[in-house]
Amino acid sequence: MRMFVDARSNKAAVLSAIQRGQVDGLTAMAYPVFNEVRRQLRHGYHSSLGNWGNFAIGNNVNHVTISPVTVNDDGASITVGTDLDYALFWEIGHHNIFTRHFERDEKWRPAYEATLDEARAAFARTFHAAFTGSSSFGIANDVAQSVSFGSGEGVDII
Amino acid sequence: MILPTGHTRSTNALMESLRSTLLEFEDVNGNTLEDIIGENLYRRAAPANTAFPYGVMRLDTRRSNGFNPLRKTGTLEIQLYGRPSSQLEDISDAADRCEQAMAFYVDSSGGGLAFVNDVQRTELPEGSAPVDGETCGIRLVFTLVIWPAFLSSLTLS
Repeated sequence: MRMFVDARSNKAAVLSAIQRGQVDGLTAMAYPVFNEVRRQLRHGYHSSLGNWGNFAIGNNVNHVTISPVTVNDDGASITVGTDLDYALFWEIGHHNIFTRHFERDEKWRPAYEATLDEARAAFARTFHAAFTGSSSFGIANDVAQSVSFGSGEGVDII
Repeated sequence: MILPTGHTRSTNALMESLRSTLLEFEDVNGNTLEDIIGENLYRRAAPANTAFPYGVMRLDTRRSNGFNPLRKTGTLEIQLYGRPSSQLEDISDAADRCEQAMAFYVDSSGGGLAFVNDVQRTELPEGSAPVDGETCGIRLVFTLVIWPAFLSSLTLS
């Protein structure tokens, strides 16, 4: 055979791009929340006594972390979190042994709500890049190469 | 102009409806949340020196993104506190009764609508300084869908 038309399924490249776009999109989505939480924590916590307490601010800010993306059969997820117990208790409320009052000063939930639209936009922007070739893993080139015309001798005619 | 009525005529009225439902709901044995915490279910925060066990409730809502502007979703957070930590079993029973009271909660009075469609329950971990380690707590977060009469009445005016 001297000439043929070769068509290949591009499904693998598409699925791969979706997965990579998902990972990059989630990572991009995490940063607005991450930055806003850290920004809010820089002020410290406001107690019921009316003072802004210097509750180990630097330590609190530095313990805000972004997890790696976890991919499973149900999709993928990423977590912005902290491993500090006192951050949890200030967020949801606690009886404080120093002020002798119930204390609560939310930082995380307001940060999440304030950045929700920005985070969604970041995900969409990054995920979309996977399909336009503007990122290193774009599939535009893969699609262009999915159908090729050539000769059996390996000489391309298109 | 049509005046909004029913329990969703205002957020205050909805909160009072939720509070009375929580406190007065009777389980199959006739037990109520009020049997455990009395009238001590407060909005936002408890007064200073409130006796344990007690509860606080808070409602946060937002307009549902992409839906009709008259529809809101919200979370009803209920936190139950006991002290000393041996009261954990009491507040666990109290939390059960809250779940029962909210399991089929639907309010369709006065042209509005509110119902619960999800709940998350968390037993708070034991805290260390600055947290009073002798207190114990359970946190319930119910997800609500609300078509408040104070909004839906706007389209009828």
